Amino acid sequence: MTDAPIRKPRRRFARGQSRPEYLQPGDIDQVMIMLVALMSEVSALRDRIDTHEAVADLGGTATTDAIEAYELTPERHAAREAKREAMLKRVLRVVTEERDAAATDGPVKKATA
Amino acid sequence: MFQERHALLPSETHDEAARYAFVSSLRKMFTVDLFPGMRTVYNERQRPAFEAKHGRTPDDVREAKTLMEQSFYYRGSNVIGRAAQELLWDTVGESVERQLDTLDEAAKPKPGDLGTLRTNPDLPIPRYIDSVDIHVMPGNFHTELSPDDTFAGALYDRGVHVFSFGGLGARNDGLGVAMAAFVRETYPDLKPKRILDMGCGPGFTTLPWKEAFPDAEVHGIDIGGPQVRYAHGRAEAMGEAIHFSQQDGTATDFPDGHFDIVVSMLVTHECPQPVIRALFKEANRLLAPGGLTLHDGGASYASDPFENLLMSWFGNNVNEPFSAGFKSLDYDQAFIDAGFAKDKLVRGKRDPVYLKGQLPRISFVGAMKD
Repeated sequence: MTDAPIRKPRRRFARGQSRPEYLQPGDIDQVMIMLVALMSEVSALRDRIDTHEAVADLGGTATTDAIEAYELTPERHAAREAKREAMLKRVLRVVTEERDAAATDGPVKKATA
Repeated sequence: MFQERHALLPSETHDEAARYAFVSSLRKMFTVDLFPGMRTVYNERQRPAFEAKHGRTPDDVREAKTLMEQSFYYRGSNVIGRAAQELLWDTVGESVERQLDTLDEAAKPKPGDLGTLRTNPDLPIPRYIDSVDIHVMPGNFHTELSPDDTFAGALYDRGVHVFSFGGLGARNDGLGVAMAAFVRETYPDLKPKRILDMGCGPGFTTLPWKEAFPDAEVHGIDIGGPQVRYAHGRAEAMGEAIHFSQQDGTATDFPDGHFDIVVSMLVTHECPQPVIRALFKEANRLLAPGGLTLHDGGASYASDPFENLLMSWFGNNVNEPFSAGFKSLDYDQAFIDAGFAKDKLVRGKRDPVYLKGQLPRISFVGAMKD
């Protein structure tokens, strides 16, 4: 039995010049728009997985053709819609929390020292 | 609600349909959740804070806007709304472009067509159309991708359905159906021989007139070639005889007194005031005695500064630069200036097709020719 070689963990940052900083405060809107587009991709991927499950439920094999040919049932459509709404609520929680607090707590009270 | 299938309606792959579903859900969330939530933030937080500081409520839309811009909820919700709008056209555009050859071919006039199509490649496109992509729809209503192009027509027909999450109906025809019903109920003796829809787009505002008045000759005009080409193919696919032509509504080639009804839907709020006046003047020229013109601008009015800010959402966020001017026009005077008599002005109302329950009823304006 030999001792395992002692190995240092790899370094995960690069020495040298500092990371360039390209984005400016005014770029945040574009980043947000990219984030929303990415949510669309995640949602489409989730729907594709759901179609795999639906095809399997029908006893089929989830080939590309079977996925394209699958006809969404109203029940499954409604279930996907509910899941999308729930995902949006989770992702956008930081946006909606101010409104939800306003609805529950009313005007912000001045903090008492 | 699903859009009614017909030969000209673009189809979607599995993933395209999934992206449509997402953008529809996002639009719905913005419309029924984030947008009305701005009222909660204003009423519960921002306005009370303003009142505590200034001893009065905000007294104009600019003050309300500055106040709301202090709220992350307002800023965050608006960027989501804007993102949804951009995502809508990009998502639908990708799908339509993929099958454009098929759509262009299917839309071409064919022997045995019920209606007709006239295009005019030399039609000058006015600057107010060419310099702003309305609704941030890239290419706007008129850009030509090829001589037989239908892209912008298909994009708008499919896009509007996704945008409104089906709120305009399976045929996107809710506005035309509502206005035609108003005309039939209000003017039961009006038996139109010819009807003109100005700024007809993909034709979903035009077809309801043929359905309401089957004996009438129905025309749709639009400045965009891709709109009327698509509209022709769409109407044929739906089995309706409509005559589409590419024309500027302020200067058409129809003879004087040719029509009994001249309408426009969701057009005037995209037009500068001089263009709105010119449309009314052309309507006056085109109408036969006893004929009726009606224009549904699709916008609501509010007197409260904050409600006015909400009503201005499209103007502020999605390229509707003329919607403010549209709201401030003196319509009575505009119709009188266009040649209509003061005692022949017409006003009607319809329910909003989306933001239901949130917006006041939408007014349409018009006049009857002596």
